Amino acid sequence: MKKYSKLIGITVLIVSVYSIFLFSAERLNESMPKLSLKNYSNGESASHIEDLVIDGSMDIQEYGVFEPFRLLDNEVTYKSELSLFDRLDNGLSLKTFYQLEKKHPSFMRGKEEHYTYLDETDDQIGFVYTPFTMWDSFPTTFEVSLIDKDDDEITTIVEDIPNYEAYSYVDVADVYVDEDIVYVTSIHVKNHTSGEDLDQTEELFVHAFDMTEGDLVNTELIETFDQSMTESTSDYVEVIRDEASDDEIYIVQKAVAFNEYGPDTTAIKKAYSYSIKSKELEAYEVSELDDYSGYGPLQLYDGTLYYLTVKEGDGKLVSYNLAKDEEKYYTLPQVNDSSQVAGDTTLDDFVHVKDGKLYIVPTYVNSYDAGSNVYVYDLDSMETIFVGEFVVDNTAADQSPFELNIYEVYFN
Amino acid sequence: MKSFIKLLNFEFNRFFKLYVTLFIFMFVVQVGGIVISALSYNRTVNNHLAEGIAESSVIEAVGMFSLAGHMYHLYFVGPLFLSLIGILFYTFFIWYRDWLGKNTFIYRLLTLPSSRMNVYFSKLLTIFLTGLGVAAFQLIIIFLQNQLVHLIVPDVFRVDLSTVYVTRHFSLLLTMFPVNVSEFISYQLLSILFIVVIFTAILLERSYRLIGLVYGVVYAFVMFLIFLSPTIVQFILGYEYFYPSELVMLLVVTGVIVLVSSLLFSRYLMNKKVTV
Repeated sequence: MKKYSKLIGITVLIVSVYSIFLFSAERLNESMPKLSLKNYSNGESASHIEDLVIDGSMDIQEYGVFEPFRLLDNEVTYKSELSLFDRLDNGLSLKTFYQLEKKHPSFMRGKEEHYTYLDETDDQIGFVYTPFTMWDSFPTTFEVSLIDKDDDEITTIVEDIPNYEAYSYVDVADVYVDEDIVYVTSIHVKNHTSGEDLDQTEELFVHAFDMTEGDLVNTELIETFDQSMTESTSDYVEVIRDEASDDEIYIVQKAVAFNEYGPDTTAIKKAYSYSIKSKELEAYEVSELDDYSGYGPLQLYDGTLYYLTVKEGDGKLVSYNLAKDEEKYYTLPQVNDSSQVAGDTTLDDFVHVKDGKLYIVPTYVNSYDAGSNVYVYDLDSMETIFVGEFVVDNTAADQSPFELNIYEVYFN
Repeated sequence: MKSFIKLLNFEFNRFFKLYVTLFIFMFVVQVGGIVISALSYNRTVNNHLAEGIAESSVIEAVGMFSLAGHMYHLYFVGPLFLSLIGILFYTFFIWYRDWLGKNTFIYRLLTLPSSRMNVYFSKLLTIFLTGLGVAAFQLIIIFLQNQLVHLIVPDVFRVDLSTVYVTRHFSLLLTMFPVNVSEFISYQLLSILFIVVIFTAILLERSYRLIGLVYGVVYAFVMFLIFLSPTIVQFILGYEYFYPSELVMLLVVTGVIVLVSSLLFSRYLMNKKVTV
């Protein structure tokens, strides 16, 4: 036995050290810092966020903790709690795209979320994918599918993007399903260079796909926008669906001026509403509208545009009724003395509108930035109906400073 | 089995002196390094305190002392890398030393009254155990470093990290010490696969000499391509055809193919081609 002592020694060393290490690692995972959303409103108000999903990651740099999480109805699920395959396959996300991957793996094979647009009704999911590989310069086909939620039957049409050769690239902007017709709104871009600047013409089309006929039945040019891009400015066209109406999309042309020393400024140049079914286009007068800070997301509900800005040093929510040409500013409520809401981070916050409520969720939170919270407003009264604060209880890590990065906010 | 264990013990004992030298080197440099760093930190802090600066201001100026912050220092990374390179070198030397010298030892090994594959597996397990041993010893050193930091640096000036937290700070350590069992097993199987392919290439060289060297390099390259073929296919397609879990399963399949074929090929070479 003695002659084997060295071999036995190294084996015992390996087995004991690794056993203790793996056991300690397992225990450490169990005592991981706990994230929660502390409700600063009354108890019932939590019902307003029960279907709000917040996907992000918690980072405690000092302790090497990096943990992706999903927060839903104040229940946190950490990525490390999932099975190995769920961890690999985006199992944390509850977005329709990833749920479809689980339900229809063959249909979803090779599809990337970035090139996918969908519209879900009670009975159907309209799905548009623009197939694209790293060897292509831009997508040239529409792959339009309709998924029947009752029997999971999938109908797919693949059509070339009309006249795609004439454009520099084509972007899908919206999908709308009405019975068996899938309407695809897309922006077709032509680049023209003039000197050092880049000028573009953006043509906005709505393509109608009849899924029973299996054909592209109509292509309608809605509007043409002249866009310019210089070193310090850039124009964009944004298509926003009005959830309060059945088939209405709003088209907003924005001009962003980049500012080296402060937040960028955005001017809304043009705004239209377009009814997909009746094909009526209405233009709104927006020339008197104030420029706003940053180029944060626009949201729309019942003909009113919502966005965040900074005015006189305070973070503000702006509502602008397009038809009435009425602009209002609302001061963001603060839970405590922090003035961080007026900072640049606020301008990147997620703004979402659903069921007549407006949700504001910060994209970044750290332990020193107590002002970054989740707010829910009632859009009729513009009253705050929920205020919540992200809290990380990390006693196991000596309450070390934490950072939260929020990647996605959506509704379950 | 008995002859295999005897051979394993024999192979391990042959490496033991060099192995212990590596351990001593790691211990002296890494532990010495952290002691010097901690003492130097203490000196800086004491100088500031002697000037009447408040503790909180000193922390703001020089930061807290954290073992994790020293993982990338040369005195930590250097000995660890040197040990791993030493084992990689020994992966080749474990074969070639048998052919070196006047009385070629391989003659005795190949003429032992047991399967020649026992020789192969004893060498394979020796390399695998020594690699794991270095990693385990590294964990012991980190634990000791932690205790020393506790003794030297006052608690208000230090960040207390457990050994597991320290390993999370350094990506190489995360590979050596994965925090769950499934990852641990995957990484160990990958290292066995790597050693087996290198051994097969060495046996090709030993079987066919100069042209065998070319065969060996080509073989290792082809095995590398076979193992990574699912990711290569995905790259050629230009989009993510496979789901991530499918890709991992395909890599497991190609890994098993490479492992089994390399072992069978090695057995063929050991039994039919390797000569003294």
